[in-house]
Amino acid sequence: MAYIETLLSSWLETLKSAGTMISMLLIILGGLIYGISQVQPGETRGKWQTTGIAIVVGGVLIAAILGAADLIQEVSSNLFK
Amino acid sequence: MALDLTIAGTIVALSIVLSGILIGLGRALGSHKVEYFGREELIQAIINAALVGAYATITLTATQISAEISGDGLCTGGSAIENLLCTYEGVSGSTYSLLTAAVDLHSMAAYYQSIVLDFSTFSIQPLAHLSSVSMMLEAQVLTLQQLLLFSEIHVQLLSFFGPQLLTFFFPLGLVFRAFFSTRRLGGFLIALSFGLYLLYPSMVMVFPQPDLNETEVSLAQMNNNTNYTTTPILDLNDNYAIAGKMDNMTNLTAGNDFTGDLTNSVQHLTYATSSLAIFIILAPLFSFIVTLIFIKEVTDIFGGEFFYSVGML
Repeated sequence: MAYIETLLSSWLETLKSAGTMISMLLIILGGLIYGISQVQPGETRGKWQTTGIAIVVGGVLIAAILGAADLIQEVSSNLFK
Repeated sequence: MALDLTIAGTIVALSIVLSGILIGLGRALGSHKVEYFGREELIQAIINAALVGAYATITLTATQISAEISGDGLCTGGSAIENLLCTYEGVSGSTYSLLTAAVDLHSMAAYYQSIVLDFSTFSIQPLAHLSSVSMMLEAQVLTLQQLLLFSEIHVQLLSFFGPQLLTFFFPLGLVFRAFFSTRRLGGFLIALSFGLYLLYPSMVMVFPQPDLNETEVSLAQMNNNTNYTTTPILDLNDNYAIAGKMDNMTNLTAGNDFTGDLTNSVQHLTYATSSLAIFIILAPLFSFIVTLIFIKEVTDIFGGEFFYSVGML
């Protein structure tokens, strides 16, 4: 059981750091795409902007949920107590 | 064997982090399926965290409810499943006593049924008509043996499952429920632990417990009756002595009625066997069916998705 606990904890740490990297990557990529959208012709600019914003929002969501993961777990575990 | 809930807590944290990544990626890539899967995982992770946090409270409440459920017999001290185990141990003991008495009675009937008296001019088998009674008693003995077997199986299963339901199967269910791929299995294990701990013993206790006192007394009186004791083998040479004993066994004036007493004992044995069959076979079968339906319904609640039925990606 101790081995399984250690294994799961290591996966959790890996996932947290991977999530942090993905979040930063998405925010930067979203920002880049939004910046590129400014030099696009009018008919495609809207599409690029939407895509850029969606990617930024995705990155922010990942960062928010990852940051609040411990708080969510703590509050949830006290729900039915 | 008790399961530590630290693993469940770690898996819940893993689920929250994974759901966050999936929600973000789904939104970024414009994939509704990924985003909804992530949302469902977040909701399930919150529920899992709540269940893990309330494990001690849930276990205590279930134990207290179980202690309120008790039958009418002598076993009323512990939880419902402990009381049921105690009841079935008593039933096994009574069934075994009945079995030994039935074997003795069958030996007696078979013995007298087989006696042939050879006189100088003729031979006679006075109690040959007892062959049918002997066959009935043999069937009763075999039936009691089967009932004893089922009762002992029940005792052993209750001894195994009783202490493990809330300390092993319930936490194991919480652990499996936290993973999306094993959520149904987790829901099933949670439903199984509560179904077997609370519902199954309650349903069995509804049935009347067999009262075997009268039968045991009747069989003891029959087996220990000095007028009916079998002749020692060494004395079997004397036909006239045996004939005189057999005459005495059917002397109604002296209050001896071997055939009548034998029939009476068979009737008592039939009553006892039928009430044992109801409590040992029918009651657990009925209760098991009801518990299975409960488990199926609760598994759908604990093991299913709530808002977004997306299954595996």
